[in-house]
Amino acid sequence: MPGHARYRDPKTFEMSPALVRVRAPYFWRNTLAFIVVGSIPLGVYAYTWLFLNKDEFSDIPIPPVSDEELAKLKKEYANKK
Amino acid sequence: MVVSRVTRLRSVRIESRRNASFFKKLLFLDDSDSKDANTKFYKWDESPYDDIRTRAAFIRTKALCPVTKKPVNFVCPYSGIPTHHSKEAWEQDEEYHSKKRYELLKKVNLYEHDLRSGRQFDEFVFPGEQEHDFTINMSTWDTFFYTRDFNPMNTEFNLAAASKVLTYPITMASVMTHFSPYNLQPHGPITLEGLRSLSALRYTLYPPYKQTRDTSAVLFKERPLRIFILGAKMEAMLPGYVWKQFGYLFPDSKFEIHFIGPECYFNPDTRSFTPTSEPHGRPHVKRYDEQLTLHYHTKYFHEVYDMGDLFPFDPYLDIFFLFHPGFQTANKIHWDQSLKGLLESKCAVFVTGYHEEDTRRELLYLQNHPLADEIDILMNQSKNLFGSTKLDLVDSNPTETFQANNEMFAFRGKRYHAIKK
Repeated sequence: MPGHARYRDPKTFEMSPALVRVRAPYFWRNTLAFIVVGSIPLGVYAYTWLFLNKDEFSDIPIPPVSDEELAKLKKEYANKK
Repeated sequence: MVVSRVTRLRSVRIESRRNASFFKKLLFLDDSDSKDANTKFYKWDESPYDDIRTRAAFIRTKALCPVTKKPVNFVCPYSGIPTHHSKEAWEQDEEYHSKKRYELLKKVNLYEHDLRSGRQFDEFVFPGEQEHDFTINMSTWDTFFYTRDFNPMNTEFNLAAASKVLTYPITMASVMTHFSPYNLQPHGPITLEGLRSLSALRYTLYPPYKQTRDTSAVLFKERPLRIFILGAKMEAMLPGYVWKQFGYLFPDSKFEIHFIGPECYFNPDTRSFTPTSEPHGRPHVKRYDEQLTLHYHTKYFHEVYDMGDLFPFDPYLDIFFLFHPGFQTANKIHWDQSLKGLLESKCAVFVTGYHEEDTRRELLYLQNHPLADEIDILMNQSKNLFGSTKLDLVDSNPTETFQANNEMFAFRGKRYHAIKK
């Protein structure tokens, strides 16, 4: 196998002990960087979610429906079934 | 379509297992690898290899028990090596048990058997030229092997076998490269004087304005860089392709490696260390290739120095390496005379030792020497990151283990600019 592919299992593509040792010194700092960088989109997502959940759509006007019309609509709905 | 989904599912499963295993391994939750190293354990007396049995017999005749000071006659059951006079002495040796010396000795035992096991030694398949786009990371053996694209050193036995050979060229490269893992004080062992010496060498190795292709800009490099290895013995037996691994790290420079010492030339015909047969004290020269030549001077350094063939020395183009010189051993008289030349050359001298104590002894010799005032320390004593990881044993004192090039320091003759009064 050419190149650094030799550092992985040819079938499972699992890292060999040698590659684990190569990466070990960088593991904690890389993980920390991953958490820091990953927290940016997650934070944006979470903020958006929380912000939108507060919205009750009270500012959207709902047109008034009279009792007669409501009864008619209910009947139509029942007939459809 | 079904097939593709199955393979996709399988690959997803493999991938998740792989990532999990990486995290597990690095969080120390998975230590399955450490259990893999179970090669067969032999006692040295019962070893299937002749030379190991002979060595065990040699230890029995030469070594003295650390407790009773009587001849060694008891095989430590943990390590399989004869270490003490009797079982009682072995039990009484508290230092041996509290410091777990037997674990190191067991490793010595396993390494020796592994080297003779006749397994496939993939670690000795060395890579060729370094591709231009890939930088070499010299911070540890592992990163070096990975970035130089060696075969993976998966077990400690692979690493031991490879590092025992490569420790000499790579130790040299690790101090000379501009990506050296040794930093300036206080972040590392290099002193300010050391930086001056190393900067001079790096000026030669990585000449500025090289991109211009204007040959007049590199006038200062009219000869190859010379590396002197004093008191060479084992390192002088290494074949050219091992030294070429050093050459691959500096592809734009040419090198002469000078082995100096009475035992630096191994004659393959007589199978012994002999003086070379060159006339007029000339070195025996082996030309490995365009970049690298190996010179063997079978004399002491002060003799070669007094002959004057090596003059002039130039701190920009010369560097000395003393791999475990043993200043205070039987050769002390020769080292005393050689030191004068070493200091006069004003070139950097790097010294390695077998372990911390050994190296401190070498440093102490320099500090107590009459010429101590002439010495600048370039590098404080520190662990050599590219020492051999193969543990070895002192036959005359089998409870003491050592590793080649384990510790390192550097010195140089004082050289300051003239000050107008």
